Amino acid sequence: MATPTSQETVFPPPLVEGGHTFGSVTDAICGVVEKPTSNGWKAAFTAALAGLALFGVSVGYLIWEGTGIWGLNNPVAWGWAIVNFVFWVGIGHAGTLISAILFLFRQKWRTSINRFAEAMTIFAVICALTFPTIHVGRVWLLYWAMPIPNQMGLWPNFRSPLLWDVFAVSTYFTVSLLFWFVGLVPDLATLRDRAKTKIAHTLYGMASLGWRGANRHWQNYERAYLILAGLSTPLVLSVHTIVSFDFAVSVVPGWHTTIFPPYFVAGAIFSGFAMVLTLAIPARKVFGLQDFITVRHIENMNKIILVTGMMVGYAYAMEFFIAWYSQSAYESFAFVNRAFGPYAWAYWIMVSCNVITPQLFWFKKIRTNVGLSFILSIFVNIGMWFERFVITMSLHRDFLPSAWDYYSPTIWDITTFVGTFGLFFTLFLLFLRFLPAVAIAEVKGVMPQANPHWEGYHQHSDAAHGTTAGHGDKVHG
Amino acid sequence: MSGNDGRRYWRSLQELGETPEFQDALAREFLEEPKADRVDAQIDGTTRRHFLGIMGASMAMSGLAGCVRRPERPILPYTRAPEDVLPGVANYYATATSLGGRAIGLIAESHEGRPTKLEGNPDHPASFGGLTMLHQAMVLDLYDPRRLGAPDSGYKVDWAVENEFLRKQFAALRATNGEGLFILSPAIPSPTLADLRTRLSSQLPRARWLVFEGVSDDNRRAGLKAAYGGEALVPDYAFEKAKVIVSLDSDFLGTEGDVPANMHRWAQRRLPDAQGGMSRMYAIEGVHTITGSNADHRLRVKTSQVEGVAFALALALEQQGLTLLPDVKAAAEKLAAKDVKPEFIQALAKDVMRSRGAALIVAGRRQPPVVHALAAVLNDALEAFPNLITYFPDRTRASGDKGDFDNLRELTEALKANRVDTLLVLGGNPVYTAPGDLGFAEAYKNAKTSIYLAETFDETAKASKKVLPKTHFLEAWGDLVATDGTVSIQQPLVAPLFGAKSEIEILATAMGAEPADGYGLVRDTWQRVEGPLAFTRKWRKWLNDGFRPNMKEGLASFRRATGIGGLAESRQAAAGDGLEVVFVPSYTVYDGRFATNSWLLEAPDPMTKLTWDNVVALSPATAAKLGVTEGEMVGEQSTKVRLTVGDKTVEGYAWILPGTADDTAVVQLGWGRAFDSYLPFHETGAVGFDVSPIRSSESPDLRGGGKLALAGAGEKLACVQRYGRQDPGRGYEARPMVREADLATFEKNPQFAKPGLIEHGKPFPQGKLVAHPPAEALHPEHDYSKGHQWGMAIDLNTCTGCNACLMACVAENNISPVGKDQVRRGRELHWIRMDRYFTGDANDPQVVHQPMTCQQCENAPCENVCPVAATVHSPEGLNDMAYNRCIGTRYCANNCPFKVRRFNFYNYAEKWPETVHMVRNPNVSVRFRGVMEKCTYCVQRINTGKRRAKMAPDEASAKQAITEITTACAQTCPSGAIVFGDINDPTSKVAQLKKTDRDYGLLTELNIKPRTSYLAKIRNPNPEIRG
Repeated sequence: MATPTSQETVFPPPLVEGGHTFGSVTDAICGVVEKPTSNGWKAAFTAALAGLALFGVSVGYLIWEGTGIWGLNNPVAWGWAIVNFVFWVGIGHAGTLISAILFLFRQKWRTSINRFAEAMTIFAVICALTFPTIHVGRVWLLYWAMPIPNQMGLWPNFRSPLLWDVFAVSTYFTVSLLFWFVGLVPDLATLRDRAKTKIAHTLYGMASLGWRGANRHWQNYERAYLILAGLSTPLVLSVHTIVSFDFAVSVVPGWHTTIFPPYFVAGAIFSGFAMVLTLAIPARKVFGLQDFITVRHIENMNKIILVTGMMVGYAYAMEFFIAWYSQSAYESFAFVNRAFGPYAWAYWIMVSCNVITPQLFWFKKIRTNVGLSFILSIFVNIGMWFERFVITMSLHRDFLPSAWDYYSPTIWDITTFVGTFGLFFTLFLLFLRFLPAVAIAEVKGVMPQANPHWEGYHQHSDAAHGTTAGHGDKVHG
Repeated sequence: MSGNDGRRYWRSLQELGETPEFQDALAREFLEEPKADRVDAQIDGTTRRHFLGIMGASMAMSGLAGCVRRPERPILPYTRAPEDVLPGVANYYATATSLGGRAIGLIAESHEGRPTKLEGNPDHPASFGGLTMLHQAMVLDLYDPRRLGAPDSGYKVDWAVENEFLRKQFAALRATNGEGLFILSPAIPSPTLADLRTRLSSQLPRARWLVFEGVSDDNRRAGLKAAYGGEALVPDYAFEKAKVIVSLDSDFLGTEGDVPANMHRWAQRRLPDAQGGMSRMYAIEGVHTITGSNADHRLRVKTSQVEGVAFALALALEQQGLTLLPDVKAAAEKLAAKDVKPEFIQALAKDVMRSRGAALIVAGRRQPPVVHALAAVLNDALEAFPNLITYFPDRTRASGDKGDFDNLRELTEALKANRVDTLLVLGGNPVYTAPGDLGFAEAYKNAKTSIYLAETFDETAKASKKVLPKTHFLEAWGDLVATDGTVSIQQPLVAPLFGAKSEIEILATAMGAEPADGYGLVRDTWQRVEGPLAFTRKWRKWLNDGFRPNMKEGLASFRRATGIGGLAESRQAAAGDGLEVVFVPSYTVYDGRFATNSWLLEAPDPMTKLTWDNVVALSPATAAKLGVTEGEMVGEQSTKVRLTVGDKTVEGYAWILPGTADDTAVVQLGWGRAFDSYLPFHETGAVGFDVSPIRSSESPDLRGGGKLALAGAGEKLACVQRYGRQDPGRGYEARPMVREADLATFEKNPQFAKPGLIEHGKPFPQGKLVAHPPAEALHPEHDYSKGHQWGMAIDLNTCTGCNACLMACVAENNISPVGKDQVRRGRELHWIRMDRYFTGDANDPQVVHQPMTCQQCENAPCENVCPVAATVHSPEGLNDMAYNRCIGTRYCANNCPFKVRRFNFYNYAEKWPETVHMVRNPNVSVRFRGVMEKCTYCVQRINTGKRRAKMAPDEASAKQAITEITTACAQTCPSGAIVFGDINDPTSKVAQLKKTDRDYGLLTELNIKPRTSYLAKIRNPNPEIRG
């Protein structure tokens, strides 16, 4: 049992740095939205729009011509589209995890990154959802996968994991969107109150649903937030579990493993946190939010990456063990082939990025180094994309050697994937520009000022109060 | 009911009286009692309210449904219905065709006047119901959009003008008795054509009639002439009676002789329970042929060495007590290859002698005449003749005819000397098929008038001064005589589509003969033979049956072979040093005549599994010596090579084909022709490379002194099987897909193929593959014990890997060719994948073939995962595929353990010329892009059979109709390896086969319960030969 040796262990460092008051918090965060559009944003947005245009062209050509424009072939009927789908869904995990699960566990440090992460979740899920939509051969008949009553009495096949996917991902998307929006309401009201133009006032006003900061509003808000957090928590676990069923329920060696649900969920959290870091580190710099997204946040996220990375590594090892232990020659060949077959290069990229490089986070120096954290988070993103690629490519060598073939992407596979980044960043930049990137109300709640026993205001008599200030006694209290 | 003022108004007396009936009626909606089934206003269990609700929702949804593309097509009614045509019900007619001089009887299927599919005539001696892939694909040529006179061909014919021209041309020749008239004809065994030839020679005695086939049987004819003297002979082998078969470089299961009949008869004796014991087959060859791949022992020697080995065999037989004729003995002493595997040859000779009277030696067409003569002499001495061989006159030749290449040489010389006034070419594209050394193409232009009967605007047509459109065999009357003398009337199924005429019609017109129409000519010929008495009745019977019966006329008098007739020249010496270049007909495009047939271009070569290309096939050792390498997956990267013989060079791709003789380059004829593409994803242009330039008329099958030079890296080739072994590599055991054992092992352990045991007779290591505990179903499984339950059994013992089933499936099920680029990307649509695995030594392997198609699993993994239930199980055990419901998630293809589902990545069948659409089977949907497809066990044929059973007048004929149901692949399989039927009927052949010891299912440990099972392969090796 370690004994506390320093002041720091007894009193954790503050979650907001820089000696902020409630007023300066509001100013700092709203300022991002209210300042004139910067040239940097314009440049970034132009690039994102170009990516979106690329996406539009790729998808348009795909629907016009058929899935033949991709590199798919007879044994490998799922290629990059499914890889990208799982990749984006995985990224879409951190948001709800940070918001809901950390909320339920009273992890106060989540407040300054949850908005960010939730937005990322929603946009990532939008990107993810495009893939199952466009990858089917006859896009125009996709609604047949929905349980729509029809004169022929035909229903979808409820035994198909793809159908479970439809429900799981759309439920997740809906709840995440609601959760995000509910959390936004008090901040939207702040923006409404500070709006200088009629149009901004009207739009923020409509979006803030008449929020006045009344006690009753706060009560309803907090209850709704808690309920949604409770609803979202199992969804975080269920959605990637269901996605993993797409593989686990099949008979394909390398897919048919019971380890997939926990392994996928761990992987999703892993990739989600990495993506949050990838986005937050440049954003905090550009928008001057270092006081809110502090090194401590980054370090905490790095710790989660370290843990989930090792969970993923454990899963990789366990897959091999079970393949050997099962004594199924098809199964064990699938894994040997993964590591030493034609796609060995992808496998070892995956292992390096997901298992080896995150080990650097054992060192506090690296954990707290913002630049290195950013680089390592990119590695994780790459590694996790390759993980899905490696899994999907189990198809290229299954039971009958006569059917084996090799899959390589075409230019259209690449443009479609790159295009989704355009879609993602377009949405994300719009979010940064028009919505508060940090949850103003919640951050205030975790500041020392929010403590009813705090007696420091006499030192800061010039402090200004925002409309929404002073709900420090909410659940955190 | 009552007014304000208290006055009471009434509608009826009942109301006034307030009768209970009225009160009751008032409460009800309808005055009259609704009919019983509408008591609750219900229609099929739906209330009106519910109905309206559904209709409302449907109206709302119909907006979405409007997105579905439904092409508009006009439907035109018959204003006057043709006789015997019931729309939707196919008609079948007997007809015949020939290939390389071999006639075969056919049953052609016709839908509303369009012939769509060919099947072998089960009663015809060259078919027994089977066809090769080449025959199966012939129907597509009828609709080739590049045929002369087709809408897009830019060619129009006016027969009044052309007939006048022909008559004048021939009339002018009468002055010189036909001097300067040359007729070049492909080998067509047609009595009417022969008759016209006779008439021509009396009319124009100095005219020359020359027969030429690029894939020639000259060697055989010369050899048999040396042995027996007299006229050209064709041997007919009774493989079903042979205990030992020795193939001297003969591909009788691939391209030589009456292949379907050979396969049928060979298969009778290839079963372990065959009457008199399973036959043993030896192949001595340098080219890895289908025949060699099915042999129990294959001696891999250079093609030029087969001769030496044959003589060594003769000597070994003599040692075993066979008496050799003196000239044979002398030649054998001189030519025998005494150092080539002497122990093999001794063992072979012993085996042959043991089976004397039931041992058969078959010489191949690539071997020089002396080998054919030797084989004849040995067969004679071994009493194979007349027990197992019947010799028939060769009906493609007239007496005194020279060989194919001598004929072509004569013509070339005449052309060069400007002695050719009129050259009439009856087809065969000789400008393309002529060997390069003759300079025939150049000389061809010297003819004053060259008239060519062409189907398409091919190489010869381009060089000819006059081109006339020739009919496809399904458009014209004709007669064809099979090897054994059975005559078939070639009955047309459709009037010439593009105004073409047949060769007999054109010839008769030119000669001024009467009648000059095909029907008249053929009928006339046979009326003269049969006499006028009751001729029409006979004629009708022939048309109905497809042949004229009881006309087998073998070698007139039984005579012994007299020796090898001084044919003692050595091929070995002629071959010389360097690489030996062997020319073989292509399995898919033959001599080039099918190089415009997209079905065949996309059919994989049975040995290399290549489509859309020919290659220079090398043995692994030779390839290594030359620096040609190949990865784990073949065809990914190819090597360009330049093959030089003499002063001519061709450029192509090298290909490593294990089993090819060392220092040998095998090249296929028939490639390098332009394919004028109508496939949306295949570009027009030459397919493969032409080897004619390096071919020589002196030695058309084999040339020595070849040189091969690397010419850089080539493109990825369109190979449909990139991994050739059953073991997955990395130290893993072979997977038990094809299970095989020696006959001796099988007799000791008949259950060897069952799960838990493994191939090669060794017990399978416990705890691996099949010993995995079988999965159990989570839910109660469906009861398939009632009604018809369809199933299939495939006998790997008699499956030769010939691809006939694949092509029959293409024709039956409207399977689109996708083009080279798409095959290269692994997107071929063939529902049958003919798997070929090599086993054993890398240079000298054994081969197994396995047709792989949808196994119709009872617990089909594909069905669970489809989100829209587009693939579901029928009560009769079929894994049905509803194309219209499929949205194309491709999950089913991923979850298929056999990977036999095929996806329409593009709209492959789009924008085809109208004529090609006509070949389609109207009973099978043409699949749109984005839709999955796969083998359906020919569900349309099953339904046709069930319909017939339903309409049958009595129980017995209903049963018969059900028994007759078979799939296209099973129907056409010449060796009868595929058997289809109702497994619930214990008397059906398939049910009985499934009870045999050899029967096993693939991947049964997954509890998928496949309906297709395989019968394990049994080899019958000679115990005295090791390895």
